[in-house]
Amino acid sequence: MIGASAKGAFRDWNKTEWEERYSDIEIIPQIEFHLEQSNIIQQ
Amino acid sequence: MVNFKKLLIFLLLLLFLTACIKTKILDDIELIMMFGYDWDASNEEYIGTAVSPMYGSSEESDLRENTEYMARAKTIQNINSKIDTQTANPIEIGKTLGILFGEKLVRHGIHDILLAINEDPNIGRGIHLAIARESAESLLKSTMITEGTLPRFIEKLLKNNAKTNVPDMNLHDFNYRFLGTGMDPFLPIIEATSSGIELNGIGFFKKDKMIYEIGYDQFFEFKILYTDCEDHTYQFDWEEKEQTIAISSISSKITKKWKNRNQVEIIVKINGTLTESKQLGIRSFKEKAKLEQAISQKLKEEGSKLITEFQELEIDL
Repeated sequence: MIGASAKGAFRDWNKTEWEERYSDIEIIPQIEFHLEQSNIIQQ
Repeated sequence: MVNFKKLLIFLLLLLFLTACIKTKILDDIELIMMFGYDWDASNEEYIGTAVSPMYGSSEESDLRENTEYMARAKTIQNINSKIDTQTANPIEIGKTLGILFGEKLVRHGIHDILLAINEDPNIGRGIHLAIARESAESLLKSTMITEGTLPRFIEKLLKNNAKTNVPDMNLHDFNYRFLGTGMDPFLPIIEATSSGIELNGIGFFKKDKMIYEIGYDQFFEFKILYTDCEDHTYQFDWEEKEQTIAISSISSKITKKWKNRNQVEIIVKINGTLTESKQLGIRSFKEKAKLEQAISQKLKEEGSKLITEFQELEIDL
C-alpha cells in the first residue's frame, strides 16, 4: 500500500517500478505501546 | 396552447409510469441469500451452491430453514442457469448477503469468477466475501443451529469481526486491492466446527491466488500494521515474569514515513488497559514502563516477521 496507486479498471500484471523494488525496501515497524495510568496500583 | 397540451400529455404519461416497475412478491421468487463457489480440479469446472431461505405459510422472525441448490459448470453464467432449472420460482440475487470461495478455488485462482460477479449489476458492491475452509458447498450445506438463517449468521459473523479482529473487506474493497497496482487483497477464512462456524484465519492473495494465510494469533499484529483499530484485546506472554497478561480496550493509530528511498517506517501508537492488573501488581511508573517496553518489543518482533514474510512472497498490503 505504501506504493499504491489505483490505475483504472484493469490491472497490468507486469511489475511496476515499485513492485520491482518492494522486496528490497527495508520496512521498519516502530511500536509504541502505552498502558493507562489507572493500571498502577496505589500503595 | 400547444405547449400546454404537450405538458398535459406528459403529466398524464407520468401516471402510467408507476405501473412500469415489476413487482416481486416474496412467495413467487427464490431469494438467494448467499453463493458459494468451489473448484473441481479433476473435471476442471466450477461448483456453485446457492442458499435460499425457506419461507413457510408465515414469515417467522426466527426463520432457520434453508434450501440449497447446487450446479456444476465451466462458467458462472451456466451455473446460474442450471440453478434456475432446479427452482420453481425465478431466482432473485439482489438481496445476496455474501459470496464464499472454497479453499481449492482460491488456490486455483478467482479471476474469472470475480469478473463474472463484477459484471452482474444485481450484486451489490457492499456484500461480504470470505474463504470457506475446505469447500463452500459443505459449509453452506451444514445443518448447524445458528441464530437466524445460515447466510444471515455468516454475514453477521463477518460484519462483527470486521469491527474487531480483521480489517473490513467487502466486494468493493477487494476489487480495489485486486485491480489497483501496488496492493494485493486478502479475505477472512471461515470454517465449520463442531460447535458452529468460526473465523480462524486471513488468506492473502498474490494476483488472483491465495498464497499465504495467518491464524488468529497473528490477527492483532496484522491489524495494527494495516490500519487503525479500536476496542481490541491482546494476550501478552511476559516471559520475564512467566505470566500471561490480558490487555483490553486497545486503540491504535498508524503512520507511515519514508526515511529515505530504501527505508520506510511504520509507526504504530497503541493505548491499552491491563485487565486483572492486581494479580500482576504494577506499583510504579518504572514497572509500567518496563511492561510497556516488553510489549512494544514483542509486537515489533512479530510485526517484522510478518512484514518479511509478505515481502518474500511479494504480497503488498
